Amino acid sequence: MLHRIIHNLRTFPQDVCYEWNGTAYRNSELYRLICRITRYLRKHNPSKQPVAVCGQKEFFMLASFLACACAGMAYVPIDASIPEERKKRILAQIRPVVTIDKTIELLAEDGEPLDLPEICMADEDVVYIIFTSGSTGEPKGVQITCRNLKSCMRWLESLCRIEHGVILNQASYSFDLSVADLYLPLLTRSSHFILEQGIQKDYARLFRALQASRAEMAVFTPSFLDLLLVDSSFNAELMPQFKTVLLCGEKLTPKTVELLFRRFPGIRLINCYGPTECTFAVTSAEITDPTDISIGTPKDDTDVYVVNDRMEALGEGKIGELLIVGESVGKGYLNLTGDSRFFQYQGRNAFLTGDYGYRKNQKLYCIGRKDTQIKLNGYRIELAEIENTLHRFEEIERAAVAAKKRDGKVTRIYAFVKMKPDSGLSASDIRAWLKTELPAYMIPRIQLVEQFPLTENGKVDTKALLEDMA
Amino acid sequence: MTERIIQILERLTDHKGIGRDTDLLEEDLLDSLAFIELINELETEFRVEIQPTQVSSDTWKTAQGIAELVKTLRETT
Repeated sequence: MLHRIIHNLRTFPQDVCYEWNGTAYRNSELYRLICRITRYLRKHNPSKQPVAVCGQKEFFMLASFLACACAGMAYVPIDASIPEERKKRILAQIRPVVTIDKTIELLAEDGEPLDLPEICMADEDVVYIIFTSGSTGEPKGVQITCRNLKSCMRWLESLCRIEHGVILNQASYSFDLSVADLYLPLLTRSSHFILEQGIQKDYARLFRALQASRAEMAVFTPSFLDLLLVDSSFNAELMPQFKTVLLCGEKLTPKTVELLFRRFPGIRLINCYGPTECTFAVTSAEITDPTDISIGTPKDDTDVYVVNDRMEALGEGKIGELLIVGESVGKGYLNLTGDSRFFQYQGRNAFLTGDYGYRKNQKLYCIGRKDTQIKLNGYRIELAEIENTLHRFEEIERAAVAAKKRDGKVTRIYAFVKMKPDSGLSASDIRAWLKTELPAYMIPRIQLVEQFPLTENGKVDTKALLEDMA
Repeated sequence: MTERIIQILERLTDHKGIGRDTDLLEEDLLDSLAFIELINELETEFRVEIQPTQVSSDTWKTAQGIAELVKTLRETT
């Protein structure tokens, strides 16, 4: 895969590969920057420690990811918008020798020869580490190998059927939703059109970008698609080339499908499913009927079983936990050996997802979580992480975090907080402090309480607390 | 009309005590899900069609701004 990407960059130097903020970058520029950064990495990171790459979708980030891969080092994408505290926690886990940010374009010396020595990444090497919300209060680093990524891209290439097109990007590079749109363009000689972070706050600008993109394909979360569909000018007239949309990251609703089909008659809608631990996604369904939204069937080299507590595969129609087995299963969490969710199943790598689902007419359906992990606007969040972060705050006596749902979809997160006597702090003080610890999408609505209602088992009754909010 | 819009906003955001000038964006009250629902509710209740691309993003800052938008749309349709 890496060889093919490098081959394309060298053979077609004039191809536009990246469009960011009004600038179009060509393959020749990408190749040059990869060579420079690779040389820099070889010199400054001989021990091949994972490399942190901090930014907000700038061109140097793509070049750095590829340079790391060429130099045989794992890269760790870090969104520059996350709070310093969280960044520190992530860096403490990876202990990088080299951290790349936009200064790399000055640091990495230019000059001949512009050649990459052999590519040092082996199949079993970790190619990237993406951090997700962890229930203990510490972000968890998911390690994906080169072999996992190759398998994922082979599958996506055959699924998306794109060549010489334009692929639209939505997700930040610190989420694995972006893995598809990072690598697909490079493999298919397509251009990668970047939507700047936060652009959705200005609809007029966002829609101008959509029109200018001439995109044929996009990878979105259903929530982002919903935001676009709010405006009726999001239609085939605005984006006449738009033929394929790949959705992933959260539950897709019939309403979204109906509206999309009305606005873009004949569009191919592919619904994907899979946790970050299993390399972007492992199942796909081409949705044609809004009343039948499945997650489809697994990719060729990966199986998904519906299992009970004893890991026995269940038959059609029986609800159980989804167990993913095969080539897509990643290497486990960084610094956390022996996590019980990664194991060997019939001699192959397996990951127990925590997602409940069932199989009907050969198709899989996902119906919810076993634990308190939720998805909000496509972001994966462990409610326990927010709770544990609140408990680090000295003035707080106790906190309980719960998600409010409508039609099975999370609409808001609440933190119910009991302060220590005489603390005198307000809900907005807690909120302000949380913002220095957690990314914006994890910040809950804070509700101060005097007492926690308890269930019969003596646990905090979050259901009762949420009902009080209605 | 502003009062009615405040009622809708309070329901959609689960937040009591919104005033005419409360900064909905600064306080993170109007998040993307609430925004989508708000457009739907305004369109149904006031029989207008709202195209966010045709509206300045500042409009969504306050209940007052939203009321003015709805008023203008009603007058022009």
